[in-house]
Amino acid sequence: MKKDQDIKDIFERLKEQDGTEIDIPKFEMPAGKSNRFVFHKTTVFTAAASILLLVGLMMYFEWPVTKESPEDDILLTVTFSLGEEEETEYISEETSISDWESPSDILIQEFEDDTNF
Amino acid sequence: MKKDALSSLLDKHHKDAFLWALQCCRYQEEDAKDVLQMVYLKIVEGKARYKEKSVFKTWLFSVIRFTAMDFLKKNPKFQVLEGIQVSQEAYSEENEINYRKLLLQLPTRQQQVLLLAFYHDMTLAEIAETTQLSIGTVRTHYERGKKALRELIPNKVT
Repeated sequence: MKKDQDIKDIFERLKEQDGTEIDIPKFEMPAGKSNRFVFHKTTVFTAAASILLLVGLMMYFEWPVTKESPEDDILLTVTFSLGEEEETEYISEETSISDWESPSDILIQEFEDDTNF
Repeated sequence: MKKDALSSLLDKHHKDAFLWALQCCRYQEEDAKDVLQMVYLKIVEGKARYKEKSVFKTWLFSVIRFTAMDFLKKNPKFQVLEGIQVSQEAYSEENEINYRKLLLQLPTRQQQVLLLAFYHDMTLAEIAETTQLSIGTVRTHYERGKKALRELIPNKVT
């Protein structure tokens, strides 16, 4: 006698009994709510993370860049040329362009020089 | 998994699924139908998703078992006391054995483990996955269940 043959026989007879006494209902796939979007937690989290990342990148790269008007360009040029003038006023003949000091430093220096007198 | 593929898989396992639902509902046919509909709806709506990590049948049986347990909890009128002595009813006047009633005398875990092993031809590992138990625990229920069943029918089955 095979191992557990008695138990196998019981279940074989149970299968036979079920086969004759139980009506298996026809398979029907329920319609469900398949036409509706189902938002799963992971989908929502992924979407939120993507939006945050996008906003973060936009802030980092300062996008969208506002188009500068031609007036701003002119203003910038003017400011630059003024700065240049100031530089030329305070830079001594000995100093080269690489030894450039900011106008404020030079002013302090001048002030200190005055006190020595 | 696409809906068509899922539908054909469910159709393929429908008979086994219904029988398992019936066994989980202690052979209450209407409850088994309700449970199976709930299971199919869960799958269609994506509340229960097959991730192809295990055999489809194992996964489906696991969903059925959990749904049936939930159903029985919500409908306590259907719960039957375990170990109730119905051995007299298990035999008809012609001394034929009613195997279903005989099986219902076993504790639920032992019943389910034996049914999955001998009725649905699952391995112990598959049973462990379906019942969410360790293989060791499954083996214990398996051995105890066989012993208990033998005691219920000492000389009736040849």
